Amino acid sequence: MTVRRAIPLLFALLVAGCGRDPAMDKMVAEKKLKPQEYAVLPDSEKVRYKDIILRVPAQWGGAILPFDKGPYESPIDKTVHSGDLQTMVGLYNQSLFELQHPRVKVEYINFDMWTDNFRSALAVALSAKKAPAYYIARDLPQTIEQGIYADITELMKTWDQFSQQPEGSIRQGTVDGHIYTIAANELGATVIRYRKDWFREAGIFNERGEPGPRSDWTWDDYRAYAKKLTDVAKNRHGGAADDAGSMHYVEANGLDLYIPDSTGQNDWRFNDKDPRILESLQAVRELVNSDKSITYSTTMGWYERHNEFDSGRVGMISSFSPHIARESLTSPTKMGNNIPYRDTVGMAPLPRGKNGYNPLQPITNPIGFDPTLSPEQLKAALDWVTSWFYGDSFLNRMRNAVLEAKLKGQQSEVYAEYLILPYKPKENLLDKPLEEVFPKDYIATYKAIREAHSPPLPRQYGLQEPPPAEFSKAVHALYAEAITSQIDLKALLAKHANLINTNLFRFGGKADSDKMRRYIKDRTEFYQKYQPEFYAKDWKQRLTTYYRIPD
Amino acid sequence: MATPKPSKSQGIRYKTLMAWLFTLPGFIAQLVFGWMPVLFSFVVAFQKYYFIKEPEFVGAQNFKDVAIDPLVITAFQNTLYFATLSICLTFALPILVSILLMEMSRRTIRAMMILWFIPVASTAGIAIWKYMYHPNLGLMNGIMRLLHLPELKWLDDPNLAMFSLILPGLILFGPGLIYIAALQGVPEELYEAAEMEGASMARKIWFVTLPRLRPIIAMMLLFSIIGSMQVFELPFIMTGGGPGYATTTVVMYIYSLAFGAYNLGKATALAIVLFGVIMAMVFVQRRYFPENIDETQSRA
Repeated sequence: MTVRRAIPLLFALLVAGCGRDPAMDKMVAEKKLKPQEYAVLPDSEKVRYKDIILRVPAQWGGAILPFDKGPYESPIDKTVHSGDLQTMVGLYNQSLFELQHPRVKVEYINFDMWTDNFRSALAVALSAKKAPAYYIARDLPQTIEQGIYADITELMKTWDQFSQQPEGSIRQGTVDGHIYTIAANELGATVIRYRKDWFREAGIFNERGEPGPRSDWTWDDYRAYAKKLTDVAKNRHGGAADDAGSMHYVEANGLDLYIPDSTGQNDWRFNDKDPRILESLQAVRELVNSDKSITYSTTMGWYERHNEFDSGRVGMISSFSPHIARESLTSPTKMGNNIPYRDTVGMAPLPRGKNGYNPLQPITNPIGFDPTLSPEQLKAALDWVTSWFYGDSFLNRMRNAVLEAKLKGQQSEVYAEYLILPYKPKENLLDKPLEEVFPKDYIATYKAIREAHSPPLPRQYGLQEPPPAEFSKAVHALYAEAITSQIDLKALLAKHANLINTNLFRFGGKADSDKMRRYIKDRTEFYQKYQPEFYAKDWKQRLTTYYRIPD
Repeated sequence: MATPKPSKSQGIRYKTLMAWLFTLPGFIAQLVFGWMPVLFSFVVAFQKYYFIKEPEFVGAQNFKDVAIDPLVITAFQNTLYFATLSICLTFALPILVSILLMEMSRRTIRAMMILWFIPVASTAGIAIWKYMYHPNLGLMNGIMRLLHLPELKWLDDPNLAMFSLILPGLILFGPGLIYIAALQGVPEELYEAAEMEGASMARKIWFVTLPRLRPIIAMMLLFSIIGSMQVFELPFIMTGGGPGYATTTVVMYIYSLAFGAYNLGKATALAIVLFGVIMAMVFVQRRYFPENIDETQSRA
């Protein structure tokens, strides 16, 4: 062989030798190293050992370095010198987690899950296998049916804090006995956010003698208070409503907007049978148009409603309890320099019905996991999430938050994080009890939230449910039309019931009466146990009317 | 040794090859991003489509669902109502304004064109209009109060909501600019000849201006029909389709079926129906309103 001929061969051998040997890689990966064994590996081996990629959404569970280095030498320099402690702690947590999980490499990705186009962005990301490992689980159970979340039933069996999750949260993410979601960091409920100073002016006080509604107030009280707080000349209204419309009447009375289809053709039909649905439409129309105690606009959504409240034009709105707790610490002067937030903004449970129904239901922000993850990735993702929301990462963040707040002379958010946490953190970092930080109404409402129970959901029994976003939109349209038009309410109800039955309750296939029976039986037992007054006054009656199951 | 001169046929072949090579990136892009989704939608319309799981073939079920859905009729009625109002107000009115504007001095024309063009920033403009219609705090009711007129509910009134959606289009959509540009290209001699014949202003508009604008009007009408039949962002941002379903348009309903109800099959089936309706309208428009004035005249 001439030298000239041998050169390409030698070159080829050299290239092949420099390449990664997959068998070797596998061997390295299969040898499960302990953190201390991993720590002594040379850098080149460390890199090769990391074969479980965990994509973490930077905005929810991560910390991303600034994109721009600005006048500094590098983004990390900027982070250090500009006092961006949150990013530094985020990176520290990442490093700590990777040391605890030597095979895992955490990659932060930019994935905004709080915008309206989140659903379509997620669908594309999942199809392209570029989705984050976990994300907020919206539109349950439709998104579970779409296959958007991994089945985590088996993983849940080995998880020590499984039982800490609120019952309602577990029910939300369970379909036909399989679990698809876990609770994130916010335990809360839909509550009434109210102006304490307005209530004081109106002479309305709760059982503790503070301005505000009693914890067992009813929908009739709500209507009376809304009227009392209204002063049209001053552009003040008792409440603000977006399309949600039902103005708490339906929630207060525990009315079911859909009931079993007596024909047996579908699982459900819209509840145009219960005369109280008609009453609720009438009530809503009166609140807005006759009482004029509720300001209404089609364009009003969640943010607009809160803007109305923050701008001092509205005395009561429905809100999410964790937001109030957080705001009281982060924006203490939001309502004005001279009026501390905690003395101005109150929190009360939703009003009850005359039938003894208590609508308070604990909820959390659920998390779902990418279904295309390998079992190792899924386990790593769960470890990351639990560490972030109540484990080591959580504690590090909280410690930093306390220190940072002290340095900046601010109130620490940590108290709010502890107040709303669904889990038991590994360590209590609070230097004073929550009762000293939050007003009594917040503490009392949170106590009630923690003690409340959520009824079973059809999805747990394998029964189909209408798409939540679309169903809620359809119901909003019904109430909006009741408010903005003068149409006869019976005709209006019939028109919308037909529309909803045609579009949202035809799942294809016959209803499964066995599943329906089990669901109603469990729901009955639930009310007997947790809401006996409602059971005796109302639910028993429903069992003989529109909750009777076809054979 | 001299290089052999390429033959004529070789030159043509080279030119053709180059033409194809230069066209290829655009052609591929059009195929992948333009035609593939269209063709794919015809497949999805016959499926129960899941984001992750394998789709299931359901035959014509999605089209049957569209056929019996009462909201589809409402959405088409709203869309046609919007299209008619929109074409009457935002398509026809600017023609008249442009013609009248041409009677003014060049400086005035330029100033008016700038004024017309600046607010054409649709999304931001739409968001601002949403607040202008606010029943208590909005500018519109402020003006009504100033004029001692009764306040209106604007977007909250099912009878007024659609009109309220069109109104910003008068300002935010700038076809007037296109007409002015086209009018500036009409030869002065035609007007001079008409004046010599003793034509009044109305006759000059009817016999000179409008026939010369015809190709532009035909094209703008086509865009206007297609655009207003596909209206989405205006009602989506300003009313969310409400109150009730008073401003729910077909494309809004398609969006909500796809990303609210996760029923991509039915959403795609409805999109295909809308495509058919628009194609039929375009056919009628092309058949009875040709662009070429001379062609029409020679036919007559």
